[in-house]
Amino acid sequence: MLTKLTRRMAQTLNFRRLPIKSLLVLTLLFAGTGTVLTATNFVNASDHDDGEVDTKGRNLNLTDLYVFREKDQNPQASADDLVFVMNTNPRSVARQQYFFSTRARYQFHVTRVNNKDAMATGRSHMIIRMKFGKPDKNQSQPVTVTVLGNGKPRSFRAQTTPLNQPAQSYQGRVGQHHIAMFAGLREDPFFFDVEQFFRVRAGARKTGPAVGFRDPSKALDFAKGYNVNTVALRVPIKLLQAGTDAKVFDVWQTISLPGRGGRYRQVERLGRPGINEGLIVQNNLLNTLNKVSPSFEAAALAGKQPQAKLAAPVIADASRTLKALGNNDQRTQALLQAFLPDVMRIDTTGKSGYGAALNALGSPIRGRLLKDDVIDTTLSVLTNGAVPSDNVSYEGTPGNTAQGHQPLERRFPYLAKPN
Amino acid sequence: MKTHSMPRFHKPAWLIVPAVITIVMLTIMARSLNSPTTQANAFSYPFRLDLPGNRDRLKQIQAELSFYKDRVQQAPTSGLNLSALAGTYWKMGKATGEVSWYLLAEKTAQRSLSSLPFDNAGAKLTLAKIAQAQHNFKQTNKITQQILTEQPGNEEAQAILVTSHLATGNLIEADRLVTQLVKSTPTLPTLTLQALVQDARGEASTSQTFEAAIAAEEPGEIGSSAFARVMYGRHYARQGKLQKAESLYQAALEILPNYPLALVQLASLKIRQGKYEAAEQAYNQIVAYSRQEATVFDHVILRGKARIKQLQGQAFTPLLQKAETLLRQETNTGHDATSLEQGSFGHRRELALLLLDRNQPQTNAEALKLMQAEVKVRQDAQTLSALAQAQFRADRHQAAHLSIQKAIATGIADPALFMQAAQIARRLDKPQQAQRYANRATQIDPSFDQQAQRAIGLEI
Repeated sequence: MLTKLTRRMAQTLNFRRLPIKSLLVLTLLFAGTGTVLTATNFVNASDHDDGEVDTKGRNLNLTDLYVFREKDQNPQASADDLVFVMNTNPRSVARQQYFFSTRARYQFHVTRVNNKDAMATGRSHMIIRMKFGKPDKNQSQPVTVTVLGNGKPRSFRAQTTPLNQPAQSYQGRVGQHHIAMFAGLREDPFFFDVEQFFRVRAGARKTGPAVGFRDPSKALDFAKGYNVNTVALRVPIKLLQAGTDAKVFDVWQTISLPGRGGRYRQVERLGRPGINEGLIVQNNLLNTLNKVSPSFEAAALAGKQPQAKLAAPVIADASRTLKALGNNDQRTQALLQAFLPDVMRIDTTGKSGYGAALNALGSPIRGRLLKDDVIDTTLSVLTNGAVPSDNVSYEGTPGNTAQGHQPLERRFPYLAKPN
Repeated sequence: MKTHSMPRFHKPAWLIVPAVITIVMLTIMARSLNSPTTQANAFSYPFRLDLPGNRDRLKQIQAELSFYKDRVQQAPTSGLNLSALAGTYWKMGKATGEVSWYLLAEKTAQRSLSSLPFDNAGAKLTLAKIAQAQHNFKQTNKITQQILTEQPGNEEAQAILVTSHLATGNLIEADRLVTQLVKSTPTLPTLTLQALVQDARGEASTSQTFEAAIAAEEPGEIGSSAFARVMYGRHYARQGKLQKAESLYQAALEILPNYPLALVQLASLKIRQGKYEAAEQAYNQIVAYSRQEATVFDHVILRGKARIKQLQGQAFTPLLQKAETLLRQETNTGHDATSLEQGSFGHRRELALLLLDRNQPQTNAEALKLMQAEVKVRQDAQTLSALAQAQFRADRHQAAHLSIQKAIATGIADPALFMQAAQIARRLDKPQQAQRYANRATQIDPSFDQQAQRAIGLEI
């Protein structure tokens, strides 16, 4: 969702950041930033209103998913746990409290995978669902965490951490396992000189002057200084295995809303950074992907009907993007197989890191750590090495105040304190 | 010796007194159950009002402005930071009604686009909303179509288009687009927009959709929450359900004290009830809130106050003159302006209505010219009604009849329209048709009496 990506940056208060899921973004021949304030008004008296309208609330926007072995982030931690991080509410302004939706279901989906080289099936073997209640006088929201798919659903209660309070994590018991959970504002760990990316892309499309990425001393990290609403979970691998000997898991996250009649409908989905948004340029196609599970892509890629027919425009859109980046038919096909279905695969037998290992399909299979430079990785892969970096990093370049994030915390949930 | 026997009637009095007290109590209880205060509970904001940003909303937006100004200072040529700043200026304009913020939003969005001419829908959307505020619907549609070409399915652009279609009377297209929006994203803003479209079409499902919108609200999105309640209240006010309407306006004011849109609607309602002091207070609250800055509500307030004076039999033309001066400044370049610097929010229709309030041959003639120009830009029910009124005053009764019929054909359930249609039909010597229109008006709002008509200028 390039669009999302771009939106991630281009909006103001109400504007939501589109998860930059995308490097592919690079490719984009068209993309855009979206905003959020739309006035839905029509007033007798004067025609002017105060409609603070964001058609899709910011808290319904997924920005990033991180999945890693905890010991790869913190050597003191147990080797038996994974950490899942879901970031939402893009471009949260510093020093302001934001809330999770009280209507939505925020969910992590997990597939147990037998073979790290197999194509993702997109089937949810387990779901970890978060449902948030109304904020109290301390600006804290109650959270109910429910684990589904391991026999009887099991839930535990927690609270969000308000802004300016020390991070508070909660332990919940699920059968014989314990899950730790944190929810609240944190600094956005993402980094990308997205504006220069737009210029680079415009040059490639001949719609603007030809330029490259800026020197590290001048590159601008657009996400610097923003916060996000984070849900972080520490999950025992054994809980995910559910009695099997699975060592590899596919993870993705979704947000669903109740429609008329109370039936929940998925409005957001995200796996790897930049895939949907990078490969899929058109908003309407992006919306199509947001409403289905990765199993839809798996079926479509396998030629199953009606999925293949329904997905044809989406696949075509992604193919166009990849070819525009200079990939030939064969490589385009290979990249599609590598990045779709859009899930974050983690092989728990090796060190976590987005670029740490690829499988036989060319898919990243070691999850994603908080400081991973996913933009550089994706740029490099999609352009076949032609564009190696946007020259922005988590720590930033000394002397360049437009870059650099706060140090990560040493303990769970690890993300830096909010601005 | 007199025996002091209790008068006979005293005995029953023992029974009557408690009975009377009971009746009085029951009456008080029944009244209180129907009072706006009690009813407001049904529409009250479900989240705490003391959450950050609720009670100090302007302060919060100011903090956001500071945040983005700092970013722009750090990277003056960042198109995305400028776009974000422009959006925040716009938000401040919406929150206060102050014209200067709109101007800043426009200038900053233009700077943003000049720095980043591609992939910058954020700045374009701000400009589209500025154009919409100017009632320059042609420009609004041009910009949003441009965005939708670059980004098919952009929800924000679609929502702006819906608003444009709503304002110009293109209700079928508005309905098509908003149905799509709600299907993909059933949120408070999209559902409110859908309710507004249904309201304009007179659909029975309007209340249900407003309820669904309010049920979909989220903590922290107070602007949308307050706006939905005001629009829902206006829907009830048109049906003569004044207590419900007032409850909704008050609920909006609980969320956003001094919310100009709610106060304007509340003042209209109070005028209709003949509570002129309360109406005046509501208008004064907006003026006090605006810190003496020029706002997009100024002419509305002046015209409303003039109506109060008129209904009280007092001199009202000085107030109308003030409002007229303001509107003339804004209307000179109105609907064709490409920039707010040209001085316009395109209030041609409002100026025409004000001139009709003055009801002089010269002002009526000018009002007709204005409305003839306006109807080329938009053909919503309110515009057609204003045109009909101008035609009626100019003794073009047949033309007025056609215009009001067009307005009625939109489907909107507005008793004022039907009463206006009845008035025109009577002048055309069509008593039966006039009666049918009058019946329809009272069917929509059984309490649409002479005071209600005078309040909107029908019988003055």
